[in-house]
Amino acid sequence: MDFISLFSLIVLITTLVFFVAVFLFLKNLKLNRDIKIKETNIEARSKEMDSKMYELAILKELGDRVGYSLDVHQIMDVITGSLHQFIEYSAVSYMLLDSSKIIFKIHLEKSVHRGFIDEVRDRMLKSLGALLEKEFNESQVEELISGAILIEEVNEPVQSFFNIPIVIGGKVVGVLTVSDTQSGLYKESEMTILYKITNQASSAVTKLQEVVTTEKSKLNAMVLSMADGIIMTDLDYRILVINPAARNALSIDPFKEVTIFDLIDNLGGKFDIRGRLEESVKLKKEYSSERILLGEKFFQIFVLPVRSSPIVGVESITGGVVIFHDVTSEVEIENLRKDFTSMLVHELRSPLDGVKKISEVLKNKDIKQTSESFDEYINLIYRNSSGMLEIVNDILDVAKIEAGKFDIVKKEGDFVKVVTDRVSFYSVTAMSSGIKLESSFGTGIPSKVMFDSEGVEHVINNLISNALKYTNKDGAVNVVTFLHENGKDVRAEAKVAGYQSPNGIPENLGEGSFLVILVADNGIGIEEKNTKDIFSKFKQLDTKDKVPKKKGTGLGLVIAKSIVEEHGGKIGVVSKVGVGSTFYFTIPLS
Amino acid sequence: MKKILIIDDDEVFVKTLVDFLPKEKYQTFHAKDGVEGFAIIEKENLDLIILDLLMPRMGGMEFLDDLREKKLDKQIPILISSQLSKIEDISKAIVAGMDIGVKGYVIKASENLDMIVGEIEKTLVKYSH
Repeated sequence: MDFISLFSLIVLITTLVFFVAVFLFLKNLKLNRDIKIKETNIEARSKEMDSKMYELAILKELGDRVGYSLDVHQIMDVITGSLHQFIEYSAVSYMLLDSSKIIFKIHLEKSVHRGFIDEVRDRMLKSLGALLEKEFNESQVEELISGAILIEEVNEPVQSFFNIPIVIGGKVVGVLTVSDTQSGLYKESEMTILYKITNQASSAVTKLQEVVTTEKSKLNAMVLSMADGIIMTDLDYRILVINPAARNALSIDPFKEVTIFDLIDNLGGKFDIRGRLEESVKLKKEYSSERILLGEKFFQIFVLPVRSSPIVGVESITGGVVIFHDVTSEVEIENLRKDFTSMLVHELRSPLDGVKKISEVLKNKDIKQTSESFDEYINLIYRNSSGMLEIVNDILDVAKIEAGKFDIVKKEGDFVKVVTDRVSFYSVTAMSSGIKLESSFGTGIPSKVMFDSEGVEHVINNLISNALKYTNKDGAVNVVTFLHENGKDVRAEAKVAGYQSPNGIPENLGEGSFLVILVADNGIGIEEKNTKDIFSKFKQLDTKDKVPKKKGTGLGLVIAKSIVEEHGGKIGVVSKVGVGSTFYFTIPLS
Repeated sequence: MKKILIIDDDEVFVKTLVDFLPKEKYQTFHAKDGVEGFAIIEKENLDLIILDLLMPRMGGMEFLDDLREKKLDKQIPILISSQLSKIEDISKAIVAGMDIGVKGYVIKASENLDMIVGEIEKTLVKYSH
């Protein structure tokens, strides 16, 4: 190779290398630039992240501090107190509607002059007016300034101004504003945090208000419908709550507005409501009264203090509650019990006294006794003693029933024979009263039936003797016994068995097959309203004037009911005044 | 011979009281209730009525009301008899019937026959002619 070629070759290689170097250099440059761009992006995003995290932290903090407060003022104060952490301003202010006033609170971060405040105030008022489509008067505004002092020399005007409406429950209740002497501060993007905060607070308050309203109306509904009368007062004895039951108890018009004086008047001195309320509230005592008669009803009255939700150990009384508890039925039962007891005592005392007087006569040697007279006395002693024994046995049986210890012993027996025997037992009594006593039987009654013969005898005795008692001379008593087969018409079966009374027996006497026993009379009958009570211990037939009050404790039917029900059967009566009664009971066939 | 009417549905009381009242001194009449009682009042010239408060058909108080309306020329002294020992019920009857002749009372269960007879004799001495 010669020199020129070598030289060209070297130049070529060098140029090549040079280009490669440049190429590599440029590539490197681009790479670096790319990296830098990426780095900037990452940095920007990281910053955004940070700022979002910061936002969240602030929101959370505000959330915690606002907590469960319904006091919008408090909330606004908390918000304005925290804004300086991420928004720059000379002043932060809010306006809130408070009935007819407008509360205007402005907090100065930096000193400004009076004119600045006036400008902010003016613009806020106009804003509020525009939002609510109302015109507001300067005089309605109540101003409160806090923070840095006013310095007249710092006379920069308002150059930046940002307004947010405060909305609670869908209604505008005020505005929140940040303002500054510098211009161009409040860009829309930066203000998103402000929107977020106010929205959060607003929705929190709205939700809370809704919850409170719902709970309040639930409580209201409950109090309104309560059977007990409820009256609630505050510490000044103003009536906060009075439910319909309380108005009824005190005979107060349902729509009248009530004061404590109305209550005092209507209680008419029977109960010192004001005194008791005072005691309750001042001494934190609960009070319950004796029975007090208001109108036609008896009430037990309770007075209690109203304790507000305790704030960690601190309990305050915010008013009093008066409860009117209707105890009329308890009083009635007590009275019935007293009447029943005295009736029992009377029923026993009469025959006992009779026996005593007979003894007195027989003891007296001066009184001459004929043998007929003597026999009559012995007879009377026997009858009176038997009567008393019956009453005592009845009382014991009823006591057993009430204690749940009344038992029947079912044995196989001839039901028809038992009925027949009872009817013939009473035939003499019936005849002497001029009453026709008969019995009739349906077909197909089993010859062997499981039942407590003593118990069933007791029931039939009771029903027949009652029928005879309440039927007049020339009347008739009919005892009808028949088998009811499942699915058949019990009324038709009764008719076939000999039941003639116009009183219809109930269509449905139960399920399955059972024996039906009817004791029908054409006597004085029983009033509809009494037919339920005659099987109950306390209620006795209240026959006045026209009809004589028959002797007896009235316990027989109570015991009869128990016996029948222990057999699994039903007992009842169908009756019409002046026409007669049909007592019926069933004995299931096992 | 004094004529006494016993208006009472308690046959033991009536029988024993009648046996206790000496037949030489007293002629006794018996009515089961007020209605029967009036029938006897109109027939006989009575010196005393012993009236039970608790009776079927016409109670003692009702009898007194009806007696007031009858406006008899002569007032007959009346003794209330009762099994009740509640003073309020008895005094109510006495006060209600004072104008029509009620002079006192006997309580069947707590008084012996001779006490009752003693009360009867006292009343007759004081108020009968």
